[in-house]
Amino acid sequence: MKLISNRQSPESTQPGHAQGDAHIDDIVEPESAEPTTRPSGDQDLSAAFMPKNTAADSSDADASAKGAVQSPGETHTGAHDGSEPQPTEITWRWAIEKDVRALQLLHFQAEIASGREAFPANGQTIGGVPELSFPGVIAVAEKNGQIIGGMSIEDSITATLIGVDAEVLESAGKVIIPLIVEKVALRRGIRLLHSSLPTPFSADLGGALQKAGFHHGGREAISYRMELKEDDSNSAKRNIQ
Amino acid sequence: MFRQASERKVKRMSPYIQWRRYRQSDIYARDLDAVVELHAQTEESLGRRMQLPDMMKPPVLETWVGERSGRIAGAFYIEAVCEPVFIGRDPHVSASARRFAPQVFASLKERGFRVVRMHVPRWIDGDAESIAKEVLKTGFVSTDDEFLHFCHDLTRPTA
Repeated sequence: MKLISNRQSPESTQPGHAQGDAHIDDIVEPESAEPTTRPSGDQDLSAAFMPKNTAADSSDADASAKGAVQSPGETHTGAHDGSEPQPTEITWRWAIEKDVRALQLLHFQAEIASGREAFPANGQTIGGVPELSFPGVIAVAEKNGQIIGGMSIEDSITATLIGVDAEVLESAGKVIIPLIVEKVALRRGIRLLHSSLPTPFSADLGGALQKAGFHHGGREAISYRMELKEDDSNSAKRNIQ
Repeated sequence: MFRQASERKVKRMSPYIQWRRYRQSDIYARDLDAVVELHAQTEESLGRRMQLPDMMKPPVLETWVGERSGRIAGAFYIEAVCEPVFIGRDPHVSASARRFAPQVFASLKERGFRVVRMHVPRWIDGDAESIAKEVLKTGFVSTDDEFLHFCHDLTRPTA
């Protein structure tokens, strides 16, 4: 079961939290979350989100993309409004279940092009993709009516130590991590636990993480992060002021 | 500064760490005080600010404190994050996805997520650079310079 799913209602998709003395089991979501929030499969995301007269970026990457995406200022003629799509246009829409097969094929082609299997046989994780299924796949990109790409959302968990005591982290690896795996991750169908160590701490704390079953992704992937909320650093402190 | 923290760390005061759930209320202010202090020590060691989310609210799922001889020696929390994954490797598709990314992120924010992570595999060679450019334009920041990333793959057979 997913921690969050686009097919669940907003109330049921809030990442759960066990407050106070609540048992860890309490945060497991019910199995019967009803799909309510995913827009209909034929909604064109490009049309929904792209104002017709938005100023264009003019960087190199955009230039390369301009041939593919609809240029701002153009009248949108997406494949889903009944008109003929322009030859170079890429449109996005929310995925529907029957898109998965085309995306699996696309993924397979990408693996062939890369000369390696991304998931799961080689155990490679960072940079690998989850098994494609619905509703994990959220959107598809089409060009001339053909699916040429897509996006899925994978739920995962990050684990963070507060403090710098390697002994505490080693102990957490023995006591807490197995609990997370058993009671939280596996029950929710989560395949990845992440932990990021500030580089200066990696020498002292990295070993403890590895003992707990984590492995260092090395330079297999470039990692990125985006904060969705305003800087809430030290919000724990603010909470009691 | 970090050396001081490291030296402090290697002192083996007790081999036994007792774990319990983190509590936060007027009568459990001790947990919060200890965690804030530990967090401040970490920031001091690093010489930079670090985030400390509200540990009693989503997307933080669980928080524990580890006690050594009755004193909180560390804390540990887990947080729900989500990772967009592109299917296929066409950088044009990545570029076009930027058009609707704000809509996706707004939805994820609404659902209670605080952080979105993304990994661009280097093994896709030349396309990685083009895709990475698009990822940065979308608002992501690279964390490779400041952090070492570890991953526990639960699908991987244990040795």
